[in-house]
Amino acid sequence: MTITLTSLDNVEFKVDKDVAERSILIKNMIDDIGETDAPIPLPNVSSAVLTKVIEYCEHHRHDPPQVQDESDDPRKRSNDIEEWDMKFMQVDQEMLFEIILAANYLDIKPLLDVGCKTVANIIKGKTPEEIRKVFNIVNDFTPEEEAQIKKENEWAEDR
Amino acid sequence: MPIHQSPTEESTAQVPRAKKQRIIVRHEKSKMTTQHVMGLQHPLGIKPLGNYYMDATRPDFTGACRSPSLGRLSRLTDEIILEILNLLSPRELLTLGATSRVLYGLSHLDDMWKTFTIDWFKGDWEWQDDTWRATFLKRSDPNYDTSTILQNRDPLKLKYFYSDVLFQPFYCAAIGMDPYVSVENIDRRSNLGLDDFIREYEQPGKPVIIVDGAKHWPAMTKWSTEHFLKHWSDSVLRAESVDMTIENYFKYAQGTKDESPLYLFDKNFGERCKGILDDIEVPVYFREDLFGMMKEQRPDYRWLIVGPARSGSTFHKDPNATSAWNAVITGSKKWIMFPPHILPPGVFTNEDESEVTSPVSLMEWFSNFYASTQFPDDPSLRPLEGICREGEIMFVPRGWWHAVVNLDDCIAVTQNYVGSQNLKETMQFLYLKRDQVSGVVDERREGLYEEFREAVFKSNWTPDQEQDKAEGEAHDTKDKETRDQDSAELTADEIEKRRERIALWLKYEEEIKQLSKAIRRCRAGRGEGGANLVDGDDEPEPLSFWERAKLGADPKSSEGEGEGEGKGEVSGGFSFGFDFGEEEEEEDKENQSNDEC
Repeated sequence: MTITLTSLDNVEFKVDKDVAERSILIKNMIDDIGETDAPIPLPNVSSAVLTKVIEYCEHHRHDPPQVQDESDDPRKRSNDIEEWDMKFMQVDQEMLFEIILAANYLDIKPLLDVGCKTVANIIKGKTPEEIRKVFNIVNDFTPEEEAQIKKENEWAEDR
Repeated sequence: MPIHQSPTEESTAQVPRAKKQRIIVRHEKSKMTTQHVMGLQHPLGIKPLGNYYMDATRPDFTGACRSPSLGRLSRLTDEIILEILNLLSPRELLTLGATSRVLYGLSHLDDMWKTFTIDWFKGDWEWQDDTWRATFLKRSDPNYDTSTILQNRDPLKLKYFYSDVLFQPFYCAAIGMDPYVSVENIDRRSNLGLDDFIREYEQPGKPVIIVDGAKHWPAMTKWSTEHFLKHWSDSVLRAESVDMTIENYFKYAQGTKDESPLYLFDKNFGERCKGILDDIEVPVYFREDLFGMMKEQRPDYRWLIVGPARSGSTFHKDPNATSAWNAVITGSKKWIMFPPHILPPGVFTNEDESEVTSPVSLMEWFSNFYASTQFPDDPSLRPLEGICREGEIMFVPRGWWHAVVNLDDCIAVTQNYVGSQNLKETMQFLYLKRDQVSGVVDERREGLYEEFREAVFKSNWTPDQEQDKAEGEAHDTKDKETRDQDSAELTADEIEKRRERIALWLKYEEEIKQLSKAIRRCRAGRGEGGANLVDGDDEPEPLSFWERAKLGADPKSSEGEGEGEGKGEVSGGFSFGFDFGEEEEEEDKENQSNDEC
């Protein structure tokens, strides 16, 4: 059984049901309305992003179903990303953020997690100036404020 | 008690029609207006998203600072950015906070620092008079000068940053419970006789506040923060997932601005606070407690509860279908309760209620859902609400959903019990929902029903059971001696009472077993369990001695112990149509149960 998905820019994607249902949003939709030939519109996702998302879902189509665990503390999860996912996430920042937003919208928790971990890994180990540079962040502190924060953060610099 | 839990947390009951329902609306309290709310200042100057549209009309508006201050990250939502921040270590978070004003603000979300503190140091930290962040930094580095944080607070405001995610917890904590306390429709009674209590409240399963319940306790004149610090400051008690000294807990409780403060909820206070049990007592209404027959083996049953304003328990049902009482010694508690079959809004369970999720915090629940409970289409769906004040005792009937919030610094004691009015529900819970049994170590959950049964039968032994016992398996002699001693002292009244208890137990047990069979049938019918369950899995649990004694009337079931005289009289003259072997005569009951499925 295949499902047709339509992207923001009106491109149709035919995917196997089990691939499409990696998205909890789509799975719930199919559960609600029953199987249908009518295309499912995804007005928040461009074809470029949807191509990537489908690639991810196809690779992970046989993963065990997600376990909903609210108590799951993200900090306790390792920031390790498996090799295929790491490669998959080697895209420019704009695409990375679009994938994260699409994963959030389509409710694909593992993809959202991998996306967040990727961003966290970019932040890790960098100085404030390096972080600003990599994300194009404007330093909007006054020099006095910056000095104060530096003092406040001495603890971090010690270790 | 908290779900833990969770979590944490069952039967059918009728919506009580309160005869003397009182609704007190305190008008002076309803002045909580939007004006008041808008006057709230977030310490970092963060505003709710809605304010953007107001600010944007001002001539001097320079535009929201989010985009430049977050750079490309601004494409993501605040929720997702916080997910990412959650993956960072304290050090990385501090560094990130030094890059721009908005990231400074986001990295200050105190909940993240609460998690760090508890993950790293469990309950071993001393509250620093402002935030979890300061507490964490000071605990990590004793030389850390927390005053730098306080000094920075003022100049470093975020101008034109709008975030509901950051504003909401602050807002909920800041407005507190004021908007939600005006309705008091739970009966408040004093001079309530025991029989009246049973008839009006315990039997129908209806909450009541017993106004004069604890007024005479020594605790009422003795207990206070000072008293606890003086006598038990080093006692270690449990606050949610951590163990803390009373001294450290009180210091935290007095200073916290948390939306959901850590809540001290300890079951070992009797051992850990010397002499504390002398200050309290089990109120006269709750002295019949069949779990008490299990002595030290009974499931967890009493807790000391301490917490500041806003701390409390999210919606749950009490464990093992027990009823409970909750006595407030200092402070006051807001209660909101729904009858067993009405799931409160914003709370989700699976079919057998083995999992309960309340995704939002207590304060968020009141902010998001409380209003919707006030004007339901059917007035009988309205929750019962009330405030339990110093010296008053709340009665929580079996199976009722309830959430409880401290309105100020509050010290209370609660105890769960099994009286004859909720015995059946507890038996049913222990028998049918074995995986949900709580309050004992995991290994005992599966067999708690049988343990309870054994204890009840032992405690309610009567001399006329002796002859059967003699023929049964050899109980240890100590037991026998105790029994002989007992029997000499037993009054006719007591014997009659015991017989009644055993009769009640057996009656319920039979009903529960039939229900259990019916449930299996339903499941098999729905293809859930496999058809062989219908007949194949019907074998009763292995019979204990007393069970076999009871079954003496039926030779078929008692195999070798059924012969002999007087078996039918075992239980002292009451009759019980008790037969595991035959199902036909139970057809009616099963049909009823089937309908329920």
